[in-house]
Amino acid sequence: MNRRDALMRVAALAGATISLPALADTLEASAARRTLTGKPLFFTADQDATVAELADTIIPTTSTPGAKAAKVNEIIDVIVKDCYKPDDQQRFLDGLTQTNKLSQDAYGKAFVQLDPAQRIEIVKKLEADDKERKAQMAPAKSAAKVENSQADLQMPEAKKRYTPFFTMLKDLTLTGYFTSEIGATQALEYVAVPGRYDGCVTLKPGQKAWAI
Amino acid sequence: MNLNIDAKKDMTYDAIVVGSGISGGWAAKELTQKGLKVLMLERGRDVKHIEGYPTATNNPWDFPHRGRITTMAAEEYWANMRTGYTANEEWRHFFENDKENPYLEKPNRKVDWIRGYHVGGRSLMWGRQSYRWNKEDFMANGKEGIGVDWPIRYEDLAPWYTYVETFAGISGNKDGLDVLPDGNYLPPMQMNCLEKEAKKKIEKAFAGRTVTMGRTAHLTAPKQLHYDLGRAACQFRNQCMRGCPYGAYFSTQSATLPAAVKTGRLTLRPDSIVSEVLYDEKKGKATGVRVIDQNTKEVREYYAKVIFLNASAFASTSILMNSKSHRFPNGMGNDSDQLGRNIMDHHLAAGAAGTFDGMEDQYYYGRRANGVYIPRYRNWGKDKRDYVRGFGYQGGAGRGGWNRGNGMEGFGADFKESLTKPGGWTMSLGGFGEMIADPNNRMTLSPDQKDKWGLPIIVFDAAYGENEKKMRIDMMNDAAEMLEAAGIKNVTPYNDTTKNPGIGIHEMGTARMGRDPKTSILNAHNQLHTVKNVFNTDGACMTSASCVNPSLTYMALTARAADFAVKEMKKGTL
Repeated sequence: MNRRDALMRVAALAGATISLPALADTLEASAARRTLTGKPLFFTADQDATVAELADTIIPTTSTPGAKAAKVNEIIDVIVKDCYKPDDQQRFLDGLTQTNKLSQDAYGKAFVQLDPAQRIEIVKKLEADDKERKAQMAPAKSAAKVENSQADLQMPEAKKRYTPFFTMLKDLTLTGYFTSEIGATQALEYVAVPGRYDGCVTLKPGQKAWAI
Repeated sequence: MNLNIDAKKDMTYDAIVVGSGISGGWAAKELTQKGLKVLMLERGRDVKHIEGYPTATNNPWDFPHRGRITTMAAEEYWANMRTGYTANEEWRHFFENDKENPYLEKPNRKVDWIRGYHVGGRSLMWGRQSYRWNKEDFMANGKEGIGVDWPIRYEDLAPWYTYVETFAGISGNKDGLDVLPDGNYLPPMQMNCLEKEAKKKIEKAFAGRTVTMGRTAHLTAPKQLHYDLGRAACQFRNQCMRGCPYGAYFSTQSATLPAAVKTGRLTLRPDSIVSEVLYDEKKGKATGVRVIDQNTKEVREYYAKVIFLNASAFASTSILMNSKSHRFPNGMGNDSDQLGRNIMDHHLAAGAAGTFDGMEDQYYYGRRANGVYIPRYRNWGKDKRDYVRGFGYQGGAGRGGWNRGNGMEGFGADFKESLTKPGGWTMSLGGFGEMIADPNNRMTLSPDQKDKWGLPIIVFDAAYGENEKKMRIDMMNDAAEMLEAAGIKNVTPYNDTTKNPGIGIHEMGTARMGRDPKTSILNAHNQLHTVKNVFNTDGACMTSASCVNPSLTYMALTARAADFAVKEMKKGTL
């Protein structure tokens, strides 16, 4: 057997029947269902639309398509449903409510109805809120680091360090976008099978970062 | 009556190998190639080479949660969650579901037991770093009076290291160091620009320290013997733990299994949980094993002249513990009460990381599943510390990716565009320290709690000792000093003291080799002192731990023991 034969066997993978343990099957279901029905699983239709526009404000279309084109709202829906604990899910939903409240207070409209400049203003407010919240948590966090300190004993683990809404949203948006086909292959450069490793390569002008 | 005799004949082999991971695969290959009819038993499901790697060629967007761990998986894989990576959906199907296969721990004496229950075991997901032990590693216990002396020396194993390196295909640089003996290597992988620069500066600043390329079980330039097994060169995808469809790294599936199958003398039986080794009181020998089918729970017995236990350290030990007889009321071969004691691992999560200003016009191509290695230098030569033994570092440099955006302020068009460019350089060094044998670090079988097959559940009772704790201070500070010498800025030292033994997934020592049956379980040929036709060559047999990754040593010990076993069988002594 030579190298080409081995590569041919890899090509045969695409057609192979694969059996996975039961757990994996059930977990694949959410993503498949979302793609198949086109309907959100965890979010309401309004929440889903808000997430789509928020994500697109964080990662807009530039020389490459943005978060909305990459359907980042769909993967956020799936991840929040399957990978987040109830407390974090609620904090995320509360964040969406707060987003619309800020929008109503400032412009008398829901977030999705704002123009791009207004959306940027609202997201700036969300970012500032997060910063403030993190600053408030910082002293509690460092106190908790001292083993068996009073703060450590009195404060439940979840209250000591939780991730505020905008930090969650930004993390989900970046993950959703840069691991999407559009993000990985257009905004970044994706090479599925590099075939070799060159340790020192001079960067070409305008060269993009590797997707993985 | 005839029917029964025939049935027993059908269940009889020359040798039985329990387990199909790194050492089990080697035992099956060696024994079949030497002419034996071998039954290899695997407790888990079958995993076929290539077809059995469902995520191997996935793109990032093919993963339903983009690699994130679901809350359901987090609950079921509670021990795997401690590693931070093994429950990831890219490869979770190769790690054991901890809820279905629970184990118990004493309070504050926890052990991370990370398992792979399927054909190939952890050979599919191992870290692939492959280093020889040095002469001192085999002598330190005897010199220092820690645990027991190894019954073998480096010279006993050296030819077997060469033998297994040649077949497995190990890429690495020959550095001519006593502390890290050279082997028979395929070409080393390359360092990147910052690693090359760091190597120069660190070696200049610290006499006696070497920065070399990681030695790893990847085919960088395959030989005909590798092609003959259907293996191809490493494609630098760095998706190894999903299973390699190129067979580019050493695994049971890519290497030892096809070699054993080629002989026509191997029978592989998945779904077969070995509950105990059968013992004939009159002959004073093992006669076979009892097996429970993991799906049907049907119980069967298989018979052989020789039994190789390669189920992984703790599993092999639990099988011996569960093999009780009139002669061995405390578990087979356990006259010394050392069975289950002396749990060792490599302690890690101590080191340093930082950033580098410059080389902004330098990048790299391809994804290298490897890093740089700094061999042990503490307590070596004239260096003397307030602890014994030492540590090595695995590390590397690279440029930041898109996920650096999470730590940055901002959003919008400029923010997005900045993340499409390579980020600044970072470099890190993480220590791998030797853990010394302590008889109080042990596993026992629960007297009342059983798993769903009715087998007693393992109870762990282990913790790092003072020696490890002292060593970790050096592991952290030395890494920071070397990075600073390499011109790295914002150096952050770390020493995570919350980890448990087992986090290195290098569990060892629970059926150690030794010279004296009163203080050890196995002899110099990996035979039970008291049941000569039972061999163990997985992590359980290790008398001490060294600070280098152990799998290559398991391979060499297995090939050596198999050679011995066949010679003894021919002499009629087994």
